[in-house]
Amino acid sequence: MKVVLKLLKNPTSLIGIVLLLTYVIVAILAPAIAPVPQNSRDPYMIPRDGFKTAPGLPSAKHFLGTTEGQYDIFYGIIWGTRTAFRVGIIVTILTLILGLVIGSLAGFYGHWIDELLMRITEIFLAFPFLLAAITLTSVLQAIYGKISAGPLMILTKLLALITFAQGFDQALNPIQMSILTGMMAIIAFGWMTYARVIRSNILSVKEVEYSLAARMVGANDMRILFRHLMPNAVFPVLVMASMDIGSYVLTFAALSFLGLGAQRGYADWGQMISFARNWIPSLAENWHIVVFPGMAIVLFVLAWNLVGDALRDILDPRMRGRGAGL
Amino acid sequence: MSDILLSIENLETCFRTPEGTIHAVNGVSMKLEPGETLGIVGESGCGKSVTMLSILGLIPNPPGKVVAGKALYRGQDLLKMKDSEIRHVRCSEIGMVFQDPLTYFNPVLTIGRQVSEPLEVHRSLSHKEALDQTVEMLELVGIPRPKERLNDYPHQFSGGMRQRVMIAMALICSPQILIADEPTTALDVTIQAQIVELVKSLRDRLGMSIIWITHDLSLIAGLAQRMAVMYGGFVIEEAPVEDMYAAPQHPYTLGLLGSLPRLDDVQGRKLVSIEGLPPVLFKKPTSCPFAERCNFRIERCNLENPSLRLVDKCHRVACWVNPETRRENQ
Ligand SMILES: Nc1ncnc2c1ncn2[C@@H]1O[C@H](COP(=O)(O)OP(=O)(O)OP(=O)(O)O)[C@@H](O)[C@H]1O
Ligand SMILES: [Mg+2]
Repeated sequence: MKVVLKLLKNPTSLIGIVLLLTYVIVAILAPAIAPVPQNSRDPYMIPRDGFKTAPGLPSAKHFLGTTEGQYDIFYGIIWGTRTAFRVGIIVTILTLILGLVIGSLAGFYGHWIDELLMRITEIFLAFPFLLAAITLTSVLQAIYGKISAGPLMILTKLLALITFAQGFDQALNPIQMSILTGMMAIIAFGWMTYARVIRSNILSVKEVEYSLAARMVGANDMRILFRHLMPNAVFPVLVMASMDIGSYVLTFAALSFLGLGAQRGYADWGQMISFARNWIPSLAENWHIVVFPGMAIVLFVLAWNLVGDALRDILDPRMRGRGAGL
Repeated sequence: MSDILLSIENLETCFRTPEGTIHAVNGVSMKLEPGETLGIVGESGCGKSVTMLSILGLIPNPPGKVVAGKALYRGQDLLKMKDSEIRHVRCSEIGMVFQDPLTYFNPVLTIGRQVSEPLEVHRSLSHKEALDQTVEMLELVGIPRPKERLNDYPHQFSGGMRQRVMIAMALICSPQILIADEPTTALDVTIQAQIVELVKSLRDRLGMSIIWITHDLSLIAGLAQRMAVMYGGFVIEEAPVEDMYAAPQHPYTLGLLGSLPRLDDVQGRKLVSIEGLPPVLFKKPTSCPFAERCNFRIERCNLENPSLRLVDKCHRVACWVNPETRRENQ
């Protein structure tokens, strides 16, 4: 508790916490801050005010102006907060789980299981993250045009269940599909560091006496691994993951910017910036189409980094003992 | 047949290390009757812990492996059991208490969760029933205010209290056998005595058999009925406790007892120590493992390894030297 209070007094972590709380509140209150128009089918689709190509400057009607094609920037940013949280948190949790399972099995069982899993990890690490994510997203989107069943589809439906709370029997629309493929690509290439760190942590605790004591109690492998070893090994990885939430959102924004993540008109910050691609020569007049969504992304990433720093301080055992002297 | 609870026969365990194979246990046999307390003594590294871990299937493999022998618990060979079967034996049939209770507790789980874990694993009880039994057990081993201490972590207990908690954990599924591997070595003398008293009273109440491993011969005197002396991976002498103290036979046992101060010592009696170091067992010994350090050594000791032979009623010794010679030289 003392440490938490200290952290609140620390200006940088305080800024992070305040920023993040602001985003949370905005996400929760989105329908009140930016009301959904009567005729809207999907609240995440940004309402348009006409079909004129040129972006509109901020005005009384459109606080932050409109983008190319008259999408309302204010509405997009507010509802985009929800997309950012949704994508960021779900991607992080799933990446984390994947990394934890692979890394802890490798560390716990050792031998050829370890060899195999770690070689696979290294193969995945060999690809540059962003390029790999871009490639996999486009490949997946191409594949989905052709298939309707199979393990890949089941995975996607599962992800849809988690992300959009959409039932297994419902068909996926193209908008959801492109978001899900982006998320899957990030997950597929994000887990490796977690796997490595948890593996080495499991290795360092699996030979200690209390794991022998747990065996003596009659616990089976899974119980020993997840109940006895994991709590002693997982915290450094959790801190890493909390800092990575920002960068996953950033990656997803990059995918959207390239037209791969969220589709045109969806309330997603990266997607909104992509409207600016045709207006780069005249950005001096139309600055608002980049600056506002860009600010939203930058501050979001910053908030998670600061909070991650703070979390590390809380969870670092060396800091726990000397709460007062911090 | 039925009056033997546990019977270990010719157990052999090796460890394969980069420096070579260590033969830690080389054919240990011992028996345990219901309600009996067996003391096992021997120098550090003579294979006491490895023997116990072997019969429970707890030897880490690799590097370790049980290469031969049987461990019959109620007629069933523990060494041949499937993983799920042996897991059921642990704690619910045979409980074990370790030397250093701090390192054997998981630092991030509360005492309550750890003590009740055997119940969770072996018995299908409701959460409340498990909790009640845990509190009851902690009370039995003498933890004050057990209910309030359930949510404490291991480091919040003193050494003696931790050992009590570990005993509670080992006994919570009421096993038939309690193996205590030097449970008092890390504690100071008064606490040691308390733990021994506690185990005695628990034995009288719950009626389990005990295998008590120790370096401290004086502890065994008041606790065990029978004792076995181990050396270099062998049992070299086995006898009822009184016989062992009154008439030790093996030169090593003589040495062990000779290095111990006694209440009835004649003034000026010198405490003797055994010269030399215990052997490192890189190959299975073909001679008597104690020969190098033995004062009574004869020709035969360097050629052949003696096996346990009955010298008196229930008293068995593995030694080539004529008992008469040993007595004279004493
Ligand atoms: N994991 C292991 N790897 C290699 N060798 C081991 C291992 N465990 C035990 N040994 C070896 O087995 C031998 C017997 O060890 P053990 O732990 O049974 O001794 P002990 O009689 O219990 O001694 P102590 O009184 O110190 O507990 C030792 O020589 C030790 O080097
Ligand atoms: Mg030992």
